[in-house]
This record gives sequence, structure tokens and C-alpha cells, in this order.
Amino acid sequence: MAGEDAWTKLGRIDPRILYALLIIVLIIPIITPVGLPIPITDQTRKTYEAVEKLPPGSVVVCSMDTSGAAWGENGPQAVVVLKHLFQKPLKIVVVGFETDGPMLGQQALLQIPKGEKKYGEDYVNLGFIAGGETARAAFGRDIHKLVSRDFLGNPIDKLPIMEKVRNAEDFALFFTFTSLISAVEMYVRQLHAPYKTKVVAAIIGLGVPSIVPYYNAGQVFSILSGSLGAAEYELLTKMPGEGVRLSDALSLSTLLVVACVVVGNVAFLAVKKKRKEEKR
Amino acid sequence: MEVTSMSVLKRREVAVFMTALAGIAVIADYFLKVPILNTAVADLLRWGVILASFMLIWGTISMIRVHANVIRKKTPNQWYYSVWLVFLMVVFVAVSLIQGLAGPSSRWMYDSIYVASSSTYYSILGFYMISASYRAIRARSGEATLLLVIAVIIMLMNAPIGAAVWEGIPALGKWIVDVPNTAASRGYIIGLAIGAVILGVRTLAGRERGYLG
Amino acid sequence: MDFALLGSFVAVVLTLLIYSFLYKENRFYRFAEYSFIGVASGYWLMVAINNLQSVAWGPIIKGNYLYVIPLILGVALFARLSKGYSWLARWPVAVVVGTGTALALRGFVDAMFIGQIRATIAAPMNFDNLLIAVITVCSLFFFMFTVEHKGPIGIVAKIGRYGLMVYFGVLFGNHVMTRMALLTSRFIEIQKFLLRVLGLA
Repeated sequence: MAGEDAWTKLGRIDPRILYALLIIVLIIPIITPVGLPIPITDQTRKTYEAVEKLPPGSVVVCSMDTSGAAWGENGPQAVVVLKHLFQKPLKIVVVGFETDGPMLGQQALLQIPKGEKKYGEDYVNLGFIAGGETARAAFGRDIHKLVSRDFLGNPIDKLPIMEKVRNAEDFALFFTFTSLISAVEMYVRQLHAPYKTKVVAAIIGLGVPSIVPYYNAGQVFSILSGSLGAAEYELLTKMPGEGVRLSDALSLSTLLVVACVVVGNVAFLAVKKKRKEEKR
Repeated sequence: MEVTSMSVLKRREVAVFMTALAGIAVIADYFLKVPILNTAVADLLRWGVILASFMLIWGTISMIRVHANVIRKKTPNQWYYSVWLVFLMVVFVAVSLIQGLAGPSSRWMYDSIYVASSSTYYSILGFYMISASYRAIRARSGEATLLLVIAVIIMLMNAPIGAAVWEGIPALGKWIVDVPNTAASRGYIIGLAIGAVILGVRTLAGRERGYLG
Repeated sequence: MDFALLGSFVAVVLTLLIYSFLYKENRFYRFAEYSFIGVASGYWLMVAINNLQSVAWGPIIKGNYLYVIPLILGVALFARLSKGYSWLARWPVAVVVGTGTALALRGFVDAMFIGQIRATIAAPMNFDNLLIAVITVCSLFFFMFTVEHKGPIGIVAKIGRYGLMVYFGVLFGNHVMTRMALLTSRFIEIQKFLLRVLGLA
């Protein structure tokens, strides 16, 4: 527009220029990783140490309460946690209370080395259980009366691992890989409150601010925060993977967003000041 | 007006009574350790799981009905997309019935079509976010400025490079998340709990009937 | 035929078709959208049937015929399709709503109401916990819309409002992280495909 000064033009930049900048900023660290340092948070360290200290034969449940949409963040978390669990003499139960759960759980299981662990003896995928909070409450109460077959169609009373796993009192640790704040709240209500189950919320970054009050109240044992939580866990377990790969691009793209916020507001304030002066 | 047993059963009050009965049983189960009640409620929870599966099936059928209608009417610029949709659905169901849901072909379709598309949809907001960061997020008032400053600190805290910008960022960000954020969201959670309890009681008392349609 | 490579190719094509929406809505985007919904609906149907086989059919085969009742109630849901019998569809909804509401009620009071208040009050006495208690109470006052926010209540509600602005700021900051991570993971998938095609992976 005629008569527009530089600040006004700067405040009205074409969004496609920003999209292009974002693409460049994301592509560069993917092609040539920078290897920026990743500080480890207390919550991730607490999760790692809890798994390390579990006695042999302990039952750990990994609930895939996520969706394909959020698998970009929950996927790296699930893979690194499962890799860690499979290195230990533990019994692992994978289940899903959201529709995408069992398939994503199966996908994660296929990606990890099993070592000497055998399906049905050391780990199992119980598949999807519909019903939201009702399903979670019923699961905590009595798994054998709720579910008769696993995801692959095997009767669960024929699986040796399920002899040890009857209800929430048998869970040493309960991981929920989720994009839903409500899922963590349901576990607080239906597993932690009645059975004092230790719930680890491996949630996407967006959900962390809303889960922190439960963590500070001791209702959630620990939090793995999005892809950064996955990166931190990968470093602790010395198994760098997708989380670490994501962290460089995350750093640079976040800096770009901060720069956009700052420049956009500088332009806005400059235009505002100019208009005030013109009115005088 | 003649009142038959069938006309009584049709009344919404019957459904409201069923809601209240189920609800009271579940609440009583929380307080009372009566074997027959506890067993009945445990069964009721499992019935809820079964009914939820039917609701999922019903949702799919509803969607098929919509698209079948579009195909039948040959709605311009629309009907061939619906044909493609129904075709893919039928293929996936057929493949899953033959090989099982965990079979290689259903996993292939799930991973390459469903997961790829849904994660792309979720990620596309990243572009709009950068545009909004530049053009929409403005320090128009004290509160907006506070929101903006906090957002910038948290973004720098989340980016591993943030500590390189200023070494105090991680500690400051952590304090913001652990103290004022916890406090405000705690107030929100308590308020939400009060509202949910009130709505729950009203539903079980039959004062809220919107769920009956 | 390398189905894994074909799968990656399909995923990359769909990703790019969906990103074409950034330019403007177009037929290629709609094709991708309908592909997604087609597979999604097939998947949801199969996962629901699998769940029924596990949760309902298993007990019936073992002789627990009480589980025929929820199967009948579930079928009653489809009575919506009939004008004369659509009232039957209310019954399964009533059972689900009653059960779910009561379950949530039990949990909300104990875990979310009392649990959070206990955590606020019983925390060790230090500046941070005192600040948490003050801002929690002020945030609650902000949500009290039955009282006019004037005078002392107005000041308290204003503090609560600023507390909520901090919460929204933290939410936005974390939201950026999530979206950027998801965007990056899509670009990594595209890179993996290109490396495979070029024989570099």
C-alpha cells in the first residue's frame, strides 16, 4: 500500500515467507545435525531411576493412550521406554484405551530388540479396551474378567505372563503414553486414588502444564515431557534415537518462533508509537 | 388416553431411571463392601465397555450412511471422494478379517495412510503457529504482555539451546512451571471438579437429559 | 516388491498433499483427507469388533450368559434407524452415562477436589508454597461469576487473572514445542524416504 512505512510493512509480512523460513530451519539440522546439549530434568531422571530399581519380575504396564496424530512425540517416548524395559528382567504389559493404542503399541514393539524375552511369557499386547474411564476402572479392578483375548487373538488365561497380572495392585509401574490430559486424570482417579499405582505420564509437551499440579501433589509419579523427555531418556539409557534427532530442529524452530514474536511486537509497538505521535 | 406397558417403556423417564440406578450402584460400591453389590458393579463396568464398542460401531455406521447418501444422490464434486472413502474402508475391513488386525497388510495401510495423514494434520498447525506468532500475538495490554513474556521464557526453556541464550532460563522456566503455573492450573482443576460434580449430580438426578437426544 | 518402500512413498505423498492446504484447499488435499477417513473408519470398526470378541464373547463362551444382556442393549443402539423403535436406543446410552458419570464423580471428589486442596494446604511452609496457595485461591475467585468483581474481590480476581495468563503463556510455549516436534518428525520421515530411494539408507 502507498504511504506505508517500513514498520507497517514489517508487521504485515506474507505468511508464506514465514512458512519457507520454518521449513529451512527444520531441514538444516535434520540434514546436518548440530548436536546441541540436552539438559536432563529431574522428572526424567526420576523415571529412569524408578525403572532401574524395579525388582526382577516386576510388572510394568505401558498404556498407549495416544493417537497416530501425536505419535511424532509419543512414539520416541514409547520406543525408548520399551527398549529400557526390555533390557531389564521385567514383565511388560502393553494395552490401549484409545482406539489407536494397540496398533501403535504393536508398531513400537516391532521396532525394539526383544533379547531373550518371549511373547506371552515376558510381554503381551492386550489390545484395545473401549469405554474410557469405565474401561480403566474395570482394568484396575480385574483384568481377567474384563479381557479374554490379547491383540493377536490368544486367550489370556493361556499366557504365562497373565498368571502374575490380575489387577492394579500387581502393577509396579504404569506408563501412559498419551496426548490427552484427561487420560492422565482418569488414571489419577481410577488407579492412583484407589490402588496407589505409580503413574508415569509420558505426555506430549502441550499437556505438561496441566499435569504438573498432579505431579506436585504426588498423584502422578513422574512426567516425561514430549519429544524432549524422550531425548533426555535416550541420553540416560545411552540409546540415542528419534528424540535426540528431533531436539536440534526443536531448538532452532523455537528460536525462530521467539524471533517472530519479538520482531512482530517491535513492529507493532513502533507503529503504535508513530500513530500516537501523529495524533498529537 | 390408554396407557399400555409399551407406551410406559417409551417414556424418557425410564431411561433417566436407568441412569440413576446405574449411577447410584456405582457410587454405593465406592462406600460399601457388600459382595453382591461389588460383583454387580464390576459386571456393570464391563457392560459399559461392551456398550462403548457398540457406540464406536454405531459411529462408523452413521458415517457410512452419510457417504452412502452422497453417492446415491451423486452430489457434484463430492460423490467420487465418498466412493474412494468407502472403497478404502471396505479394503481395510476385508484385509483385517483375512489376516487379522495385527496382520502385515492392515498394519501397512494403517501406518502409511492413517498414521501419516493424522500426524500431518496435527503438525500443520505448526505453520499457522509461526504465522500467529508473528502477526497475531501482540502486547496489547498488561495481561497480553505477561502471557507473551512467559511464553517466550518457556519456549527458550524447552529448547535445549535456551540455556545458551541465558544460563538462568532453565531455572526461571522451571520456577514458573512449578509455582504460578501450578497454582493457576490447580485453581482451574478445583473449579473444574466443582463443576463436574454438580453436572454429575444433576445428570444422576435426572435434571440434565441432553444425553438422551 | 518392497512394500516398506511403497508404504513410505504413500506416506510421503499424503503428507505433501495435506501440506498443499497451506497454499489453498484443493482436490489433492481432499483426496488425502478422504483416504485418511476411509482407513480410519475401517480401523475403528475392526478395533471395536475385536474388543467385543474379547470382552463380550469370551465370558459368554465360558458360560456367563449374563453378558448377553449388554449385547442386546448394544444392538438396541441401532434402533435409532427405526422411527417406531428409536426410543430403545436411549437405554444403552442411559447405562453408559449413569456408570461413567458416577465413576467420574467418585474420582473427581477424591482425586481432583480433595487431593489438590490437600496438596495446597499440606505443603511445607515456604515462599513458593505460600504463593501457590494465594494464586490458587485467587484463580478460584476469578471463576466466581455470581459475584461482581469489584473492590477487594476485584483485586483478588485480577491476581487470579494474571495467574491464569501465566498458565496460558506456559501452555502456548509448550504448544509450540509440540507442533514443532510433530512437524520435524514428518520432515524426518520424508528424509528417510529420500535416503532409501537414493540408496543412502
